[in-house]
Amino acid sequence: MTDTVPLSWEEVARIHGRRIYNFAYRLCGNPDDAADLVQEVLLRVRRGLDSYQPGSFEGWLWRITRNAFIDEVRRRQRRPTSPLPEAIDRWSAQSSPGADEQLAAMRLGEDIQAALLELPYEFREAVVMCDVIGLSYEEISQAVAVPVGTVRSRIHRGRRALRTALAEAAG
Amino acid sequence: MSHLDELLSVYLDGETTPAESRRINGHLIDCEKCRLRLAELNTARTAVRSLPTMELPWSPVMERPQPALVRRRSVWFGAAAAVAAAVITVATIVTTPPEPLSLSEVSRQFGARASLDPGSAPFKVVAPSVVVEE
Repeated sequence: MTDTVPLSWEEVARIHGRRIYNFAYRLCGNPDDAADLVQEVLLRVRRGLDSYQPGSFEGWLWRITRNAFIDEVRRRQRRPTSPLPEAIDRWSAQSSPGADEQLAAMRLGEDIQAALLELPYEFREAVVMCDVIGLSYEEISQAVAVPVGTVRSRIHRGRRALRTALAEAAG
Repeated sequence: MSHLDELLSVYLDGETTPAESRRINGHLIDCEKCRLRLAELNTARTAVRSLPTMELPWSPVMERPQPALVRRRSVWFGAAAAVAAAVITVATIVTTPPEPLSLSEVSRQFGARASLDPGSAPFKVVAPSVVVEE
């Protein structure tokens, strides 16, 4: 997303507060820590908006969010499904015997969250940014400050590990 | 035949170039193994995307309330107030000696009551703390 008009702090909070919370919640699995992170991110956004240079607001915001999360983890030392292209739907439907049944059999939220938390941080972060927040590869690349190729690899490896973990959880 | 591997995730996300998409579509027609991998990756992708959106427990444009702290503080304030009240009451009882009544005061009080209640005798009752004036 490229923009030229920076949002006010209140707009950022209103529009993105819930997304930031979901990002943090899916990364750490803890609602209190996630709420703390939203507060910290909004403080940093408030301080940084004056010096914001028009460009990729998403990249800027998620870089702040990501850095705040990592800072918080270091400090503590503790602890929308998008429609697929038609061709993909066709292949998935043809070659996925039992996949939907397996998915339905899982205790979905808990198992998926638990599987996410088992992923190495870099993979988890890339998967959450892509599949929970809905960022493009380019936006993830800007937020994490790695090449798009690295983003592709992390998402792919994260999904493979998730698939294995979910299959095990489903028995 | 070289398999697609990570290009499959890119394909699922619609992030492939037109040339990559053509190559993938062509490959999937002949490769059952990659079709299966695609389906598995799609299962993982769909699972994460199906996670419910969590609602922030407070409005991000308002100052964040701290209900736990407020509740804890109110309990402590209540307990402290109760203790303080009890201490003051006990201290008052202990430190305030009963004021002895003089005989004339007893006479005045009972006399007044007797005047309101003609059936009662004014000096029938003697209070135990009465101190006789010398």
